[in-house]
Amino acid sequence: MEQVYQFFINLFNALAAELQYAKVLMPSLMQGLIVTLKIFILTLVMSLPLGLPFALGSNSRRVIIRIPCRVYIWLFRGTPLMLQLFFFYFFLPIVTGIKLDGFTTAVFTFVLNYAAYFAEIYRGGIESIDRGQYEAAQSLGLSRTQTLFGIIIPQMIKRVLPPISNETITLVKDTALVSVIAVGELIRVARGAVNRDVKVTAFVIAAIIYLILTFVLTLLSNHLEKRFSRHEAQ
Amino acid sequence: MGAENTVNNNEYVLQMHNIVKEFGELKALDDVSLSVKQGETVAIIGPSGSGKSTLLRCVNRLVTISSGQILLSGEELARTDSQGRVIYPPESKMRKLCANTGMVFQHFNLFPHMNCLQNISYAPIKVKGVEPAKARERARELLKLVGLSDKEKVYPGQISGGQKQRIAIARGLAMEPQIMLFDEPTSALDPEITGEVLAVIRRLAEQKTTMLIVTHEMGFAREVADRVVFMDNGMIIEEGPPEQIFNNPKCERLQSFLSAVLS
Amino acid sequence: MKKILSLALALVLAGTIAGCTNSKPSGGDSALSGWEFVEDKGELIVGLDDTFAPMGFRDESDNLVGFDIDLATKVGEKLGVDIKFQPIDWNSKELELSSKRIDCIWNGMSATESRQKEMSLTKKYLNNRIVIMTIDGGKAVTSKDDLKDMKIGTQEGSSALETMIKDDDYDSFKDNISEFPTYDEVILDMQAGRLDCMVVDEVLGEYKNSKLTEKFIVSEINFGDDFYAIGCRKGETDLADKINEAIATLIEEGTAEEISNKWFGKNIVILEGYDQ
Repeated sequence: MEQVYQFFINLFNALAAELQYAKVLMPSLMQGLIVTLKIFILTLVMSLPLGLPFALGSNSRRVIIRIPCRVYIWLFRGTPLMLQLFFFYFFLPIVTGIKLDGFTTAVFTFVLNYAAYFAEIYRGGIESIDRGQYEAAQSLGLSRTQTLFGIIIPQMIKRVLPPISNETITLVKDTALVSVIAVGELIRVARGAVNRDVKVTAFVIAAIIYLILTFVLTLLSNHLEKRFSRHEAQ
Repeated sequence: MGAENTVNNNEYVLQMHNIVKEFGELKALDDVSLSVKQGETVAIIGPSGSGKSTLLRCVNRLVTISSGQILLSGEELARTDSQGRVIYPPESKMRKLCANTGMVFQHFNLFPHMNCLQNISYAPIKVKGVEPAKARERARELLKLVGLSDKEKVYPGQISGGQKQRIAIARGLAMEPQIMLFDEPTSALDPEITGEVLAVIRRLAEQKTTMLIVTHEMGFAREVADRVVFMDNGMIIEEGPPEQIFNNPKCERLQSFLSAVLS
Repeated sequence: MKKILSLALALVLAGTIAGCTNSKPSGGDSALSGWEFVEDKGELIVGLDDTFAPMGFRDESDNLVGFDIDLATKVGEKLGVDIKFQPIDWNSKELELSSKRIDCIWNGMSATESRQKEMSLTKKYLNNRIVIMTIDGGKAVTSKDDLKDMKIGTQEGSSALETMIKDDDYDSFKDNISEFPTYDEVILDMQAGRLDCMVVDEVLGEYKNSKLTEKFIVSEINFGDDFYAIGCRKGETDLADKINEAIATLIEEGTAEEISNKWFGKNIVILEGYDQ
C-alpha cells in the first residue's frame, strides 16, 4: 500500500517538474511556431493562385507555353524539396550573386514547389470536368474566359478540395525542412532546446503543436468540403 | 422577327448547303443540304450512327464542317472557298452567330454549381449584357413556361432528369434564339417521364418556335413536326410531311427502319 | 470580388518579400576577399549552429550565449569590426562558407586534418580531448581492446570519428561504430540501450553529462588530444592571422581565461600552431 502511494507521489512530482520545464520552454517554442506559421500561410496564399496559370499553361495548345509549364512542374515535383532549398540558398549566391536570406528563400522555394503540386491537382480537376459543360457553354455563346472562370473553375474547386487539403497538411509538416537552411522554425528551436538541456521534452511539445495544427486544418477542410457539396443530391 | 430585314432568303432561319464532315477516313456527313423556315419544326430521324446528331452539332459549330456552307438567318457561319478550305468568321463574330441558336443536349449539361435560376439567367447576363434583375425576371417567366416555378433556388443535382431537361430548355430559350436545337432530348430519360419534356416542346411548337429536333420518339415526331427528315449513312434519304413519311414511305431503307422501330 | 481580393493580397505579399530582399545590403564588395572583404563591410559574419551547447546556443530567453559567442564578441572589439552571428545548419557549413553567406565557422570546430586542407584555419584556441563515455552500471572500458565487443556511437564527420579512424586499433572495432547527425541522438540511443558507449570530445561530453540525471562514466582511457580552431575560407589566411592576433591579445590581458572559467570552470584556452 505504502509503495503504491509512493509511486503516485513520485509520478505526480515528475509530472509537475515536466510541466514546470515545459512552461520555461514555451516562449521560445512559440517564437518557432510563429516562423512556422508565417512560412505556412505565405506559401499557401501565394502558391494556391500561382498553381492555376501553370495548370492552364500545361494544357495550352501553344507549345511555347505548354513545354515551359510542363518542365517547371516536372522539375519541382521531381526533385526533393530539400535539394531545392539548398539550390536557392547556396547555389544561387555562388552562381549569380543573388543572396536571399533564409526566410525569404524558404518561402520562395516553398511557393514554387507547392504551386507545381497545386498545378497538377488543378489540371486533373479541370480534365475531370465533363465535355458537355464546355459544349453547353459554347452553345450559349460564352467566351473561353467566361467558360473557364464561370463554369469550369468553380466546379473544379469542389473536386480538388480533398487533394488540396491533403497537400496543405503535408505543407505544415514540410515546413520543418527549412531547418536545413537554418531558419529558426519550430523544429529547429525544439532541437536547440533538446541539445541545450539534453531532454526530449521539447520534441514532444513540438509534436503536440503539429497535431493541433493539423487537427484545426482537418476541421477547416471538412467544413469547406461540406460547403462546396451543398449542391449535391440529398 | 428581324428576319424581314435581311437581304437574301429571309424566310429561312437556317440554311445548310452540301455539308460534308469527315472524321479521318469516315464520312459522317456526305453532301447534306437542309433548310429550316421561320416557325417551322423539323424532326430528324434515323438509325444511330446515321449522322443526325453530327448534322445538328454543325449548326452551332460544336462540330466544324469539312466543306459546305451554313447560313444562320442569312448570315454566313461557314463557307468553302475556291481552294476547298472551310472559312469561319472570327471568334467573336462566330460566338454572336451561334448564340442565335439554343441547344438542348441528351445529357442536359446543366451547370451543377448554379441553381436553376442562375443556370437560365447566366448567359443572358454575361453574353448579351442583360441587366441581372431583368434577366432574373425573364428566367422566372421561363420557369413558369416549363412548369418549374418552385425550383428557382434548387440545384440541378437535386431534381429529376425530366425536370433537368425542362430547365435546360428554359436555359436555351433565355438567349431568345432564332432556332432551338434538340439533340435527342428524351433518350437519357426513363420512359415514364419523357412525357413532361415532350409536352414542353409541343407547347413551343404551338407557339411557332423554330426548332430542329433529333429524336427517337416516332410518335412525337409525327405529331409535332411540320417536316420529317430521314437520315442514313450520313445522307438525307427522304424528307416530307409526317403523314407522307410515316404512312407512305417511298424508299426501302425508310420502310425497314420504320418497321423496326414501330414494331 | 473574392478573386480580386485574393489576387491583391498575393501581390502585396510578393511585394513585401521582394522588399525584404532589396532592403538587405548585398553583403560587401564580392571582388574583395579575406580581411579586406571583412574590413570593407565593417562586420565579421560568424557562422555557427546555434543549437550547439556550450559553445554557441540559445538560452531560455532566446539569447545567443556560449563560450564561442563571448570569445568572438571580444575578438570583434579588438579587430574593430561588428560581429554578426549567423545561424547555420552544421551539415551545410562548407556551403555557407563558400557561398560567402558567412566569413568564418566559429562553433567548437575541431581542427581535423581534413579541415586543415579544406579551409584556412586559425591556430588551435581550445585544448580538448577525445574521451569514451559509458553508461553507469554498463560495460566499462579499461583498454581499447574492450571496444571490440561494444557498440559505439559518435557524430558523423566529427573529430572523435576522425581520431578513431587514425587509431592503430581502428580495424578491430570499426564495424561497431554508428554515426549520428548530432550527439543528442547518440545520447538518446545510449539511453535506449542500443549503444554501449559514445566517443566524444571532452568539452561537449562534460556539458551533456552535467545535464543528465543518470550520469555517464568517463572512461580512464581516451583517444588523445583534440583542438578547436576557427575556419575561414580557403586561402584567406590573412583573416585567420588577424583573429590569431586578437586572441593572443585577449590571452595576454587575461580576458580569455575569464571566459574559459565562466564556461568550463578551468582555463583551457591556448594558442598553438600546427607544426608543434
